Amino acid sequence: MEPTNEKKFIPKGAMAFFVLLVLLTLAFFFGIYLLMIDRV
Amino acid sequence: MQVTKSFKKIVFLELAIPLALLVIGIYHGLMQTIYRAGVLQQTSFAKLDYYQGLTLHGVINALVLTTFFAVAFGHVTMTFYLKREPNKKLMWTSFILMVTGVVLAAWAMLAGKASVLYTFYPPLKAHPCFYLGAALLIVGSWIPLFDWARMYNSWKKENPRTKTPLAVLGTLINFIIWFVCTLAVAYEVLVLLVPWSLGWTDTVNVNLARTLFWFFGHALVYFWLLPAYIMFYTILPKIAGGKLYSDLAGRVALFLFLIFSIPVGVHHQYSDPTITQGVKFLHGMLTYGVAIPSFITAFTIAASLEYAGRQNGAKGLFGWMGKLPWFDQNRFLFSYFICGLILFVFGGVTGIVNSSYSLNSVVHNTAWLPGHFHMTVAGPVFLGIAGMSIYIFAGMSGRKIKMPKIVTIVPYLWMFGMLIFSFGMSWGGLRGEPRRTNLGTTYLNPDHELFRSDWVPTTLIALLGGIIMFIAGMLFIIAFFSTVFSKKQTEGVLEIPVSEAYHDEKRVAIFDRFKPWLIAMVAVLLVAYIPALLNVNENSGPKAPRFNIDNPVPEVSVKK
Amino acid sequence: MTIDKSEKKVVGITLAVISLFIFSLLYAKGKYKSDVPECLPYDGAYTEPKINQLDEKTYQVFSVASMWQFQPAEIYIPVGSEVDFYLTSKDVVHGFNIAQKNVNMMAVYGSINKTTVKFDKPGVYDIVCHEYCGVGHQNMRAQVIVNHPEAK
Repeated sequence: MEPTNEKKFIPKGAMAFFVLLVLLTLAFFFGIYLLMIDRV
Repeated sequence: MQVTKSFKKIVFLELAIPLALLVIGIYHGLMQTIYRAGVLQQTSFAKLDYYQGLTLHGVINALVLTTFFAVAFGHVTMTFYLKREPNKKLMWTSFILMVTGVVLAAWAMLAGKASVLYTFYPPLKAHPCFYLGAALLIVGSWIPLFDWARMYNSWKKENPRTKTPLAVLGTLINFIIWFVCTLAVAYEVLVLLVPWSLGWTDTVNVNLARTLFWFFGHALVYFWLLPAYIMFYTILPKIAGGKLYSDLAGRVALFLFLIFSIPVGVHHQYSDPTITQGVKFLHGMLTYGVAIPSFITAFTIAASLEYAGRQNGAKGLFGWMGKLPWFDQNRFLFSYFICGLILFVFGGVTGIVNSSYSLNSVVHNTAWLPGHFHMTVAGPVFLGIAGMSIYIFAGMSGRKIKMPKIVTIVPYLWMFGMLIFSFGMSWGGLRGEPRRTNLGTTYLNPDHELFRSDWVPTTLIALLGGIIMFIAGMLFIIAFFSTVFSKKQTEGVLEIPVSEAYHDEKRVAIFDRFKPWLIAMVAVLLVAYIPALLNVNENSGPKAPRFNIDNPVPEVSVKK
Repeated sequence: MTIDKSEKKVVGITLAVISLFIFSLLYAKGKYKSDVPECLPYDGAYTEPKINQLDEKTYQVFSVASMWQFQPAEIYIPVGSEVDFYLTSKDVVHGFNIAQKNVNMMAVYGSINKTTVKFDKPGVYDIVCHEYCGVGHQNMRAQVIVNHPEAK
């Protein structure tokens, strides 16, 4: 169970990291995607 | 926890033997970057031919090291959490089968009779001992699963209402995935390839062999990865000074791996003939399914580290990243885990590119591919193996870690080298540089008509990365064996750091039972693979005879 | 069963990203015909190397990979043509990669692979074997030479 004697921990930093991870994924995907279309 | 001498002996051998072989494995990693950059412009060096060395590199690093470690780490995890040891006879039988397999395959490779690479695609033929050796390694690794299942069932009887420990769940799920996927490659090897290579059958359906191999081959990478995930969920948070953010998230991720690890293999065959675009697209979508548990893991581990950082006084959105035990010798495992995770960010993201159907045409079989997979198998997997091996060996044998400063720093050096290597390979791959090719003799030989000047910078960058990694790898191996051969200080015990969970959710039955998930796994497998196998059957023509690596003329003529 | 709010958000974002990827791939398939190679049943007719001109702007190349060459080794195509590449192997598995044109196929014994390319720009396009096929693998390369028709 969550500890009640400390302030509730909300992982804001981890969520920010996750969003950056998603952006990196989008960057790689669409980078190769655009390269693919360029080579058609 | 006290463990028997026999248990310790087997685990020590299973950890140390592959790490000793790794000297050869890493040597030929370096050598490849040297050949590929055109520094060497020849077919062999020091009596090892390029493709022979490439085979050794793949088999030792990606099959032997990983399988032995998974078994050893499984023994350690199951024993520690369930407080009972595996059956001694079965542990020895498993070990002996695996070692015998390695000896057979090693002989074939070193004798130059199995330069077929670790994927051994027919109709390039290897000596039967290579295939038999691989089969023995695999069959030996099946045995522990059944014994662990027995241990788990007896533990459950004694603890009917306790959640299965996450590490135990992970180990069992990992080996279930392994057992199911290796059935295909065992069939390929024992039924299709061994009789053919012995001359008992004349031809083999190459497409069928490839499809069976990749039924195994993608799940193989999860077999490598899940032990590292177990470390991230159950050991890392404790080492970092925090807690696992959500225990349930780990369970959900593991069961998703059980469903999605295997029915995605055709994404390695996007450019193959005989399999339809529809089946390929289906496997592509299922592969997006298997990406989900990795995204869950990325967040959950980040949240766990954020919790640790905040416990250490960090403020702000990203301050927690700084308040972690990056260079703490007493918590050296942290550096192995964090460097693995950083590499895996890039490894995972490039993996998503590779599995994205038509995007695959840009990268398949180019140097981009090894650029990707070194950031996964030679990232979190290798670093997890290295860190845990020295940790377990030292602890259980009552020895002190030798060269502790170096042991702590090595992952950072490795990571630095890897990022450089993979950057060079990825860039080269986008310029059309092929993988699995001895570039030095032709494409990277300025006097040759095939010379490609645009691959010079990319192969040089990969060479630089390779040299750095070689140094890091050798430093680790020296530190490991210095520890192994150092003087015993105390009677060793088996001890693994165990992370508490912040959200330690009540036991949820559906995420603590196997049956429904096993049924789902089989159902998805049938949907994914029956069409693929039907495709192969419908669209394949004549089967292929045996070819040796140096002769376009096959061994026996195909009967028309 | 309570699932943590942040974890739910993470799964939601992941599913959204996956949907975006699937949509983008289908869009590329519809608009640009970006796809994986086409599947054909085996037909012995494709096992002899050939270049067929079907009309002014349409060609077929029956490419046969073997240890260690592609036949035909030099393929002359006028710029602006569309080429159907059919591919098979006489022996072991070979690769067939025209990097600048997204052509990426495996040549497998007893099987026919196919892809279609439009050569809009003149130039020399390397066909590189990128699957290990024995000792001569690093020598295995062919070329598509795309010219203005008068230049041949």
